[in-house]
Amino acid sequence: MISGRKLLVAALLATVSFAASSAIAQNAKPLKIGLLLSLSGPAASFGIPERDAAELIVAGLNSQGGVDGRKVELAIYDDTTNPTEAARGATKLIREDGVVAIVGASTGSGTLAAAPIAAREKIPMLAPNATISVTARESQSYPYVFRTMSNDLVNTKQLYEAAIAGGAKKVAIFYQEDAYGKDSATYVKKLAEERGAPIVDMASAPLKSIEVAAQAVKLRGSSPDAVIMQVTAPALGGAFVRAAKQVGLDVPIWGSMGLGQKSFIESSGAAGNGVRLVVFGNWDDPSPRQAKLADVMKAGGKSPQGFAELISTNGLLAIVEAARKIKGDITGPALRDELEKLCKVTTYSDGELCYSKDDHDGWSTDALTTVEIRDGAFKRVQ
Amino acid sequence: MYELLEFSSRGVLLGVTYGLLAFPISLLFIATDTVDLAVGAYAVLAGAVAMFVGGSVNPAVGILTGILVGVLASAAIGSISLMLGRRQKGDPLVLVLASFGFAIFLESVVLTLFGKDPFIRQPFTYFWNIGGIRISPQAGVNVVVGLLLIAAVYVLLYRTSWGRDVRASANNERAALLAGIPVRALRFSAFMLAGLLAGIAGVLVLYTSGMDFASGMHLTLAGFGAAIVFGLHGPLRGFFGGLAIGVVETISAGYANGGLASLVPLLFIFLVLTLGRGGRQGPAGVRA
Amino acid sequence: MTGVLSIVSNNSSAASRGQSILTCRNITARYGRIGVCHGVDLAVSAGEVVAVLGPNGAGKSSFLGSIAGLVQGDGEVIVGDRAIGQMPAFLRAKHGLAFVPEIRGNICPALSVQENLGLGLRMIDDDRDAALQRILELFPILKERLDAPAGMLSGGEQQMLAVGMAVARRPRVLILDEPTQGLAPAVYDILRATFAKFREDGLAIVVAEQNVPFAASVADRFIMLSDGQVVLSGGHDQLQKYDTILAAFLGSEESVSGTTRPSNVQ
Repeated sequence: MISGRKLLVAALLATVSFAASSAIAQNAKPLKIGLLLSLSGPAASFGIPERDAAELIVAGLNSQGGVDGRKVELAIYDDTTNPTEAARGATKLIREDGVVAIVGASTGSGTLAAAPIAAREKIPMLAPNATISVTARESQSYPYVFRTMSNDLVNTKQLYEAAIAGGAKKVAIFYQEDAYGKDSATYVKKLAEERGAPIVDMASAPLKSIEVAAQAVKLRGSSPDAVIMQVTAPALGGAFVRAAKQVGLDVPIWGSMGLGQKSFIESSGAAGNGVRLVVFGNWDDPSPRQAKLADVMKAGGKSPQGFAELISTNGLLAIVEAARKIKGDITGPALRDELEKLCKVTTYSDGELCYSKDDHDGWSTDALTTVEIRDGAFKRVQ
Repeated sequence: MYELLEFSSRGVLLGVTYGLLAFPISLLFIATDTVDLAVGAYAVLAGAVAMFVGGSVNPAVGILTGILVGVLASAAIGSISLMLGRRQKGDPLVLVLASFGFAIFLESVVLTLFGKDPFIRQPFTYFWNIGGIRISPQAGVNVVVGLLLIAAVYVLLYRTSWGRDVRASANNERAALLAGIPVRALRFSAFMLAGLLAGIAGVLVLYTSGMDFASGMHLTLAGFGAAIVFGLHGPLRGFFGGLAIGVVETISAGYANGGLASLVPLLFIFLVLTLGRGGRQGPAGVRA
Repeated sequence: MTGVLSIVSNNSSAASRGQSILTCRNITARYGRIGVCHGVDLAVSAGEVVAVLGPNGAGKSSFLGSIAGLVQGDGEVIVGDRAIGQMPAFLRAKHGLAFVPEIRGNICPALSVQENLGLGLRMIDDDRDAALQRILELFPILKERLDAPAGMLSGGEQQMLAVGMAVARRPRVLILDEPTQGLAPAVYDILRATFAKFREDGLAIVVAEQNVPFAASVADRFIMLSDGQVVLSGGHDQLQKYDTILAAFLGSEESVSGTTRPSNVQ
């Protein structure tokens, strides 16, 4: 067995010697992996870096001889951020391109639409989504869906814990009006009640709001000592941070993982200083392991932008790791069985990957980092 | 009570943006009897160009280039309108659909050229304190530009022969032709003017709340709501419609809970349209 | 010599009377593929009034519309010595052709009377105020309604406005489609008087009418259309003489005086 660490080094070396001719055994059947990602539409901001990172990793693997002599081939399908297209894409990738595993879809709803098809065709899907229902135990698709990041419950709980760790007693919530925002706000509310320190006020705005000063004034009215933003859209998050500054809501603001993007910093402007997030990876001040992926990306002419690069490579590396353990033909069911046995695997993310029969989530709080915006960058908070 | 005052005044400031977006929509409705759903996309395009040219050359050049690009984009849909007019007489719905497609096209152009990150500029780092309410000086700029544009649009439509000809063309195309008005060229110029107004609105949105490549439809709908609430046939009504919606929106965001808060403005538009008379039966351009 | 109320440009004064100002040859009109007017010829001299008669659906409006460029069609249209048959409607208007469509279709109901007159005057380069005064002297009633939206005027007032707008820019040819439609007979007299003035000024006038007695009272000669073709033409005498027969044929029930029975009074 090749450890994740070795794999990393191999990928890095490979990318550096990118131009060198590869020595892949011609007779071995290639390992075909599908990327079912949103390369256009609203989720393109995730899908495009997800694809870029996956392509660079695969190029690195192949120049190093592939996976046990098998060349890795990617088949890419753009679901245009449309679940119907995601389902169609799964069928196409499996039936026409003959992939044995899929990384995708970029959105939870895309994965939910495509998973039944993958499960029926017995092809594992490595889902780069935090959406809880993606790995719902009662789902027919469950056996074939594996998550490549920590889920929303883990992330939200960690955010709340971090926010009150400094002693905050009166927490207010600002959330975006969609399933994610509402569900996670409700969850934090429940957590707070369990702790005996109920949430003091909540305000919300539609995803595309351009002005949220009224919401900030509303929260200011309950004089909280910390505000949690359950927001994934950088523009909305930035708008709230600026509004808070403008209306004089001068308390620590905590943001959810989705805001861990450069554009959130830009959109917050000067008001963003001191805002803290709990994130899955951080490129401004990366951990040593993430720094390696950053190097791979840079060698390929791309710069990493968010956690999208990490979660697609997590999926890809999990497939590769499982494939290495298969002696004979690599098939969907064989991969699935091996994926379920993967544990203590390290990738570019912090923490360790560990799947089991009862846990297809794989990632937990050890993959998360608390960061703070300082001088236009995310700095790790120890 | 004081809070209500703060909500209302912030609502007015938000409403100025909506009102600015309503200008091009009602102007085009008056001039061409159609609704251009790409207005928000012109605004986003103008904002994005203003941001990137502004960042690499200087802000003033950026703003002018942005507005110019907005005008050009609008001229494109104007040309489409001329071509449609030549083939089939008059169904305004065709242009509405064409403009919808054009909006989606512009959205992907902006995504490709300028990326997915939000576009925003914030030159002001301090706030004005007006009666205890902290307000960005940018809001002041918006109000001044909004008022200047109201005055300019009013004068143009109701005090110049260009405006008279535009209103005549919308009111009775045959009569306009018989009076020697080159109706199609005039409509084209109305599209250019709408692009200009949308471009200015886009630049102000860039400097106020920011936007991203996908904001176009939201901006169009915000402007459209403002434009219809007190009657589509007067640009001044559109501006005040924008103010009204802005105030309703901030007050409901301040006092109502969760999703209800964003429903209230829609409910408000619905109620005004159903119950109000608003002079909507009148022909285009009768009153301001 | 042209009087104060002259509404015709100087180069077409009485001097040119007798020679054809409007010449139409082989005019056709169609809606899509359906032809409604086939090869109609018409020539009108300065100071002459020609009536276009015909029953409903005979193609009168389409014929006039085709001349004005509002209805699809072909054929030669010459005003003075300028061929305008291939021009769009707004350019034909610039070359001296004025058209008052049915039901005063050249006014903008949403615009004020003043603005409508402004539309009529927009192609004049010289003194617009003087031109406006001429129209207001021609139709003094408009003076009192300058700020009212044109749509609020009575039918008769609208007709005066429509004619006033059409002649404000001093065209050489005035074409009217059913000017008496829906109007009180009292208005007929005003129109008659107006036509008489125009005639003196050397304007070439074409008027389509269902109302034969009215047509007979203003026209020098007539053509009659049926199924989009000229089936009969003649002079003033014949119009007078056959007035009642023609009226019966066309379905009009009025006599020359136009007072026996008010039709469609507003």
